[in-house]
Amino acid sequence: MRDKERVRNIGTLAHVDHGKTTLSDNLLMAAGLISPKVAGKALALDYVEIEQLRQMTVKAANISLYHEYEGKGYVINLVDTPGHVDFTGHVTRSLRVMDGAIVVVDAVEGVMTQTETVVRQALEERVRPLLYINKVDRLIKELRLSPQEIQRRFIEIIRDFNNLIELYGEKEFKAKWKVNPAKGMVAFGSALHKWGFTIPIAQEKGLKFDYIIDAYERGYVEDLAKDFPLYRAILDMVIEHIPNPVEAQKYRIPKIWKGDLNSEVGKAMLECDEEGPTVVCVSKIVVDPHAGLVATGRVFSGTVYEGEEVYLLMAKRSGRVQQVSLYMGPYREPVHEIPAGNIVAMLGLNEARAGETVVDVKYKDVVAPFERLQYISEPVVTMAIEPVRSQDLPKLVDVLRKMAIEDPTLKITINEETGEYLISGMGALHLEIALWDLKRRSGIEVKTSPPLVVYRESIKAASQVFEGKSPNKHNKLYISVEPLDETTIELIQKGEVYEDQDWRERAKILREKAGWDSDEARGIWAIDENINVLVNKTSGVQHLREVRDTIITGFRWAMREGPLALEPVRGVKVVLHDAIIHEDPAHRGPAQIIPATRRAIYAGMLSARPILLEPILRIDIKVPQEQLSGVLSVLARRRGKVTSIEQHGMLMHVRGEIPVSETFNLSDEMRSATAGKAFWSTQFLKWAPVPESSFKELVLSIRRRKGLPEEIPKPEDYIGP
Amino acid sequence: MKEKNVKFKGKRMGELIFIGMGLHSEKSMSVEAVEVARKADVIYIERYTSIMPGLSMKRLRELLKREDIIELHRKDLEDYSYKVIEEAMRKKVVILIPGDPFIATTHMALRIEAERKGIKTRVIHGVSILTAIPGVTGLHAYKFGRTVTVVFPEDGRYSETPYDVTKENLKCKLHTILLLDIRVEEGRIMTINDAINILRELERRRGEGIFTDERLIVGIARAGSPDVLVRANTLSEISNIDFGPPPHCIVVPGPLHFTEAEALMVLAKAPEDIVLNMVIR
Repeated sequence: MRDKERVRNIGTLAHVDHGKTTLSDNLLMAAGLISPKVAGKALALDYVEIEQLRQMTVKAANISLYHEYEGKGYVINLVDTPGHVDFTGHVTRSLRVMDGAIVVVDAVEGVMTQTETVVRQALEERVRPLLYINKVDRLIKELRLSPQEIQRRFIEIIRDFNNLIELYGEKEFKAKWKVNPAKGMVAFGSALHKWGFTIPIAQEKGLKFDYIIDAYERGYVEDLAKDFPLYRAILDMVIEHIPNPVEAQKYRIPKIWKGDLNSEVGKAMLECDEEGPTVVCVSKIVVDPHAGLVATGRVFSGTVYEGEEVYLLMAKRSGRVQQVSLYMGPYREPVHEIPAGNIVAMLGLNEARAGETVVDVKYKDVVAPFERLQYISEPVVTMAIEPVRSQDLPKLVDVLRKMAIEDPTLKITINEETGEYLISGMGALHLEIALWDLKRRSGIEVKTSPPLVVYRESIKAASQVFEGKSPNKHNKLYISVEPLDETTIELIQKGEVYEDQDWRERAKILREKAGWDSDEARGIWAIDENINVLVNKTSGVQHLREVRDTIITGFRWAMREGPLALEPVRGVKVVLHDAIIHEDPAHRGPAQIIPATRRAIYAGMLSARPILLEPILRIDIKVPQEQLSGVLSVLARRRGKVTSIEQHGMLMHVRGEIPVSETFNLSDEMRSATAGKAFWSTQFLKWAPVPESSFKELVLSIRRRKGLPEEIPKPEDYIGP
Repeated sequence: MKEKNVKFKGKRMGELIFIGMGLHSEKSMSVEAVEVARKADVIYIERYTSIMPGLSMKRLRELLKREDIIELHRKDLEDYSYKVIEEAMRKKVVILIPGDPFIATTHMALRIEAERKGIKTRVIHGVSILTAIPGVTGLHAYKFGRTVTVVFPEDGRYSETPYDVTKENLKCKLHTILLLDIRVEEGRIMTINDAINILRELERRRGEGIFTDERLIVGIARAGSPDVLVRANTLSEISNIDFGPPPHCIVVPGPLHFTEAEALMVLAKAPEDIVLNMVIR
């Protein structure tokens, strides 16, 4: 831990069910934490019961492992990451703190949609991906392939994997990071049966594929596991090919941190200097029933010690680290201090949230925070929740709040009018698991509404300029709206353009990459979380400075609840052209300016061909040829679209798109249509307009549900006489 | 046709009458105000733009000999003003308003809307704080500059307009009336002490020497009431005085005429050395 050249920070990434957790248990076994017999069955990292049920790790846990290689001892910090893409938020946060990733790919299924997603995300954070081809036993036992066929399968997977690196890698890393099996950059094996090898290991010990097949045929797989333990293949590969923190921080810091690299802090981080100022990037928060809030993160510079006075850049608060510990599986082991280059768990920082940058309090004004973590997925499903016994409500609210602290992709909101609590997440499964977790933690019985799709309101045309009057009719705002172009939406989504960015830098990016007019690009006042932009194009308006913040608040309110059905607005540019603001502060307070702003925006949107956007999932299905027609008819019935059908051996690989609203109970229908033989997964793809034919009925049904008058409002409703 | 609007095809046309009630209580209303109100079809009262410390609804009902006086809230006159207007098309509608109806500009929008719809409107004036101030302070009516309201900060955001207005008025050798925020709906009414804290914060931010501790200001509480209290002194001395219940306001005098200085000493207990220093010779 002290010798940074002998530290590695890694994680495992995979498509759902490709065997990530089983691999982690093999690695735990290496650390002597669980017995070889139990590994592969115990799923130690899945310490929440539901995860065992679902064979899937929901919450990233961290663990420090010890491994000897070529006579030297190494510490490997293993950040476990969830396998289900409903929780991609977790994966992104974990990536920031690791330097390398083991990408687990099922030998039978090959590279899948989520494999592609996680490799892309890793490359975006300059995390080096290495390949582990798992479930080789299935090739032998189920598909009964010959050694030559197995080899061909491996070559195919490695080629697909390297194609991803070619596609998504940055120029300077592409060539270096493509995996070469001959150099030991790919491991092969079976996590379930605990054996594995790399080509160099096989060559050194003279391992042949015939021997492996023979081991399965004659039943001495256990010997295979003893002679060629999977953990050794993986950890050797990690030590050999994942850079240590000193090397990694040299090229990762310039990408993941936006501060001045020539400053004292910048230099200390580039060098991973444990004598430098303390800087920790928090990747995960867990609320422990006994210890309270546990913040886990990577020490990029300095040494975190018990009792250290620190400052949280996001929360803008100072705090004291009450306890410092490292991870042993689900348990934390208190230590006195943890130096740069390692993963730390800190107690006592109650204001910390995932993504927080924790720094030495003396440096609070000079350190830039880590870039905002970029989330690729957005909450798309919501349900109302209430306790069966109403006296449980305070406790329920308390637990829900804690859950939202731990998992920022889970949103808890209150419907002010009905007093209902709403829980929103990344998909139906995400919510299902959250509810299970809720019940486990609180013991409260809850009632929920059926899951509802969260829509977005947007527009297809530009509006004229509308006059928004304040209720006292003494203030007037002149506002138009127009659709935000795709490039700008993408720049905001990827975090290249954001609200508290230096305005010159932002204007430059928007001008050069998205073709913005320079005046408009310079006049941006606000960018909200649903990707809408407020632009000030006025000049010389009296008193505007004093109501600027109130206009921004009005903009945010309007974007949070659009005019059609009070659903969030997405992809709209709001332009303020002119304003008449009353002389006296008493007549231009928030109660006057906020409604004036909203009215003009609503009138504009309603006259600009308003549309409703629905979330669309990418669906990826593998199914035997005989059942293909069943799959296609299910998709057709549910407004699905097929984008490609490929044949892989006996299996047909169907890729397509399907609206979220059509996926509730999809499992049951898919099962009965394919005799249970289809394997499929989904992932958020995009927002798309709902078909025009169902637009009106959908808007009205949402309005009905929310108790709003059952008619679509008109622009005139918002512009007075 | 509007001029002879009293009868139209046998039906009486409506009217909208704004009545100022003055400063202190129902007794501040003029005889004309009382007579007109008694004859109205509908009597509304709004009490959110200002407060009248001595007003009793019970005594008001007795005075106007009417049980059906309806209170209007901000929403009724801003968002739902069309309802009042519709009513005034057919009926004689009276709105009772604290002070003088149009001193706060709020109700002018309603009046214009009514006139545009062909409804006759009328004003019966009352006494306003703006006309009471020269009386209680002795400051000359000719020498006041722009009036401005000191509002409560919103989420730590302060309006700096009172600072700018006072600064400009002082530059032009004029007095400034600082009205203090009244939010009846939120139950918040600003006192002189609240206002001084805000002015000091503005001075801290701007540092241009407008609201220093040495600045002469006049604190006025309950103008028009029997227990009116007026005190002139430095900002720091005024901040130590308990002015009692609202409404309050502040005047920041500019350079003084000698009669103004005398009045402040006699009526507002201003220290001689301070006011004499401000007299223009």
